[in-house]
Amino acid sequence: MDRLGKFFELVKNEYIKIYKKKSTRILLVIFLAVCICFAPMAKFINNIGMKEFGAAEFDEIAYRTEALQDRKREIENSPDMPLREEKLALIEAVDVDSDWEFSAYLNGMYDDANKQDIQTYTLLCKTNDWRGFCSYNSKKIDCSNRDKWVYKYKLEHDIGYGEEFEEKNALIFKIANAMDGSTEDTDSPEESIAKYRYQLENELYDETSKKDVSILEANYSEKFGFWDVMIKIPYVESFIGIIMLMIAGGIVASEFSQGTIKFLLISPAKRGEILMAKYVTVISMGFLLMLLMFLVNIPMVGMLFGFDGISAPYLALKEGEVVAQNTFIYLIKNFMLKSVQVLITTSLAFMISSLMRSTSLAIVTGFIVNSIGTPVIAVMSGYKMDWGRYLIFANTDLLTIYKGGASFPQQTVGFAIIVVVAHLAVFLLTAWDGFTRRSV
Amino acid sequence: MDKKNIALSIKGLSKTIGKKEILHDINMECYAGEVFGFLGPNGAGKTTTIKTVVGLLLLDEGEIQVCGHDIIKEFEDAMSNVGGIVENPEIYKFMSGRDNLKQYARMRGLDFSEIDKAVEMVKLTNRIDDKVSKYSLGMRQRLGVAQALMHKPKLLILDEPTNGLDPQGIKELRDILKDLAHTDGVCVVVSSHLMSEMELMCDRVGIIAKGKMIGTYTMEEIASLSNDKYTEYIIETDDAVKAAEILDGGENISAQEKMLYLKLETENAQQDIAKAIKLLAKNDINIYSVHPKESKKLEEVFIELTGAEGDGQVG
Repeated sequence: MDRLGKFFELVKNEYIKIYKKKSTRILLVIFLAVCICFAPMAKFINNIGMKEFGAAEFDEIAYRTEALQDRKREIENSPDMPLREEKLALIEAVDVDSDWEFSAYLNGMYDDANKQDIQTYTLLCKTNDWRGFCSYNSKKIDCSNRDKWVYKYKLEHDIGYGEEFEEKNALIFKIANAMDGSTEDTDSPEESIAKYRYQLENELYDETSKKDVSILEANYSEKFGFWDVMIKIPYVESFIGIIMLMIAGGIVASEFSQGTIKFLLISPAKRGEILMAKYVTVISMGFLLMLLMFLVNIPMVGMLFGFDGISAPYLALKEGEVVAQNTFIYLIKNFMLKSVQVLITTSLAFMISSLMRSTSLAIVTGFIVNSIGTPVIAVMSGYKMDWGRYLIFANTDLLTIYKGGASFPQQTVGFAIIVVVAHLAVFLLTAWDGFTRRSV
Repeated sequence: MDKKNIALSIKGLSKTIGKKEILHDINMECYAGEVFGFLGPNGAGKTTTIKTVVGLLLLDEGEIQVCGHDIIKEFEDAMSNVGGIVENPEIYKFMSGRDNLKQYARMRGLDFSEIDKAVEMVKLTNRIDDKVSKYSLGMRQRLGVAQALMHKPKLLILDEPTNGLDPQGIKELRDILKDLAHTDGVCVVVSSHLMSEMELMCDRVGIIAKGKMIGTYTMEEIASLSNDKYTEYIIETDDAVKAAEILDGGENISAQEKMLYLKLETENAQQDIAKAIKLLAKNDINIYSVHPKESKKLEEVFIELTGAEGDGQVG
């Protein structure tokens, strides 16, 4: 048998040993249960959220009709009001179904509206001329730059009002807001504007870039879409980390406690190969569990929340250019970056398992390191203890570092990768040295 | 026995753990087709030697070859010819016997059909699919043997295989091992601290004490060591002192209460004892029983041999 085939047989042996143990079977069942329950739980939370905080059905037309009638009555009852006739004519001309005509009416009712304004609006409403409305408004001296841009853009691109332009107008409105400096998330106004423009130009109304996987918050009062739920899957992923830690902690040490290490080592397989087979088993099992998680959850989430919007791309800015990428690939990429922490903890437990030959010590150390890492870095960062940047915990969250949220100033992704790789190398070499050279 | 077919050769093996020298210049050769007993008191270094041979301990000094392959330079070739159990049978208790053997088959690249053959050999066929945690110690030991010989090793090393086995189990194991050596030509190396056990099983023994090799002997050689020039007879009589006077054998006769001890030359022992009995009977000495003291047991030879080197290391 060739070398690689032999190595796969060793890995297969490890898989069988893990699978045959009762404890791993129980863990697996729990994991599957968490996987299966994830989507129904999200649905449950969403339903409660919509019921408790969801906006009541709002009848825009009825509201407008009532507003117009109230204003009409008010004007009729106040004979001294300036421009009384003109205002009444405008109210008469407004069609409540039209967004811009209602806007024109509102503009006409302002105290600073002059006779020419009101008469122009009335005429425009009568002739259903939204273009005229836009150009007239943009030429007014008190029109802000933001509004000027909006009217100009609408005229240039022939974007009117009404349902067919709803998404485009929403995007134009968002760009205008961003011009004023207000954005919806952590993106800078420039980044937001670039992304919205990209969407507008490509008629891409559904996208997922605002659904950041690192922010596990969502508006529970609105109906969830496919990606709203999928991005919360790191909740499930954290179980994979726990399972991997437990397997890594026991995979070498348990051979010693069972006495089976002798069986394993009285064989033509070299010790290094046996250890490597064990490490490969732990890591590949993490990937398999992740695959299982997606295989269970994609249909589950799709069934409960619908597959609408599944093709929505993720928009990212690269050197000022907006790039659209597949959201699923983006999600996987983010998982990989987030898995660095799991990889480090698992490797540490693996090393202790191999070196100290104690399952419990390995697992407990892994858990402790996992839970104190972040607070320790937070404290060091708070007290400006700069050497903290060399600690492994400060470097495992590559995603946050990449986005500029590192705990220490000028911490780069390149530096973080070097620290992570150095730690991995030390862990694995120590495990290897302990395993291959020690007497049994 | 083909003396030229060396399955295991150990030359100048020394091992120091910490400051303590565990093994000192061990030399021995074991041949195909023989059961070789590796004998020594507890703590003499048997397990250390065996662990070194199977690669569990690192070789500090010396050279070990399995079927002509150096265990360091040609690790894989050497190990593919070795099967072994060290200390206890190493078995995954949460799996069935068959699953354990499958693990082994995968590691060695064996066909699963070998499993049934090996299982049949150790007579475990009807329990092989049970969980090992339900096995008796003897069954585990037999499963261990099945595992160790599944890949048809030329060298089978068993460390204290009879530990904890009942007499029936010991006999079964003994038969299996003898069969393997004498029929299939395997070199079986068995370690033990009990000479009596080795006597029934082995063709040759190597004796080790206090980390030093005392020597290797065929069973015939051991037997001749135990056959003395003199045979001792014990006569039970009512007046041992008077009887001793009558026989007047000098320092070859001693009396203790009612027991008379006669040391006779083995060659003429039968005639001499007949004469002595007649003489005593003539002198009205009542004789209740006469029996030869059994020839020196192998165990005593062993204790003598190891005691000389071992200086009370036993135990």
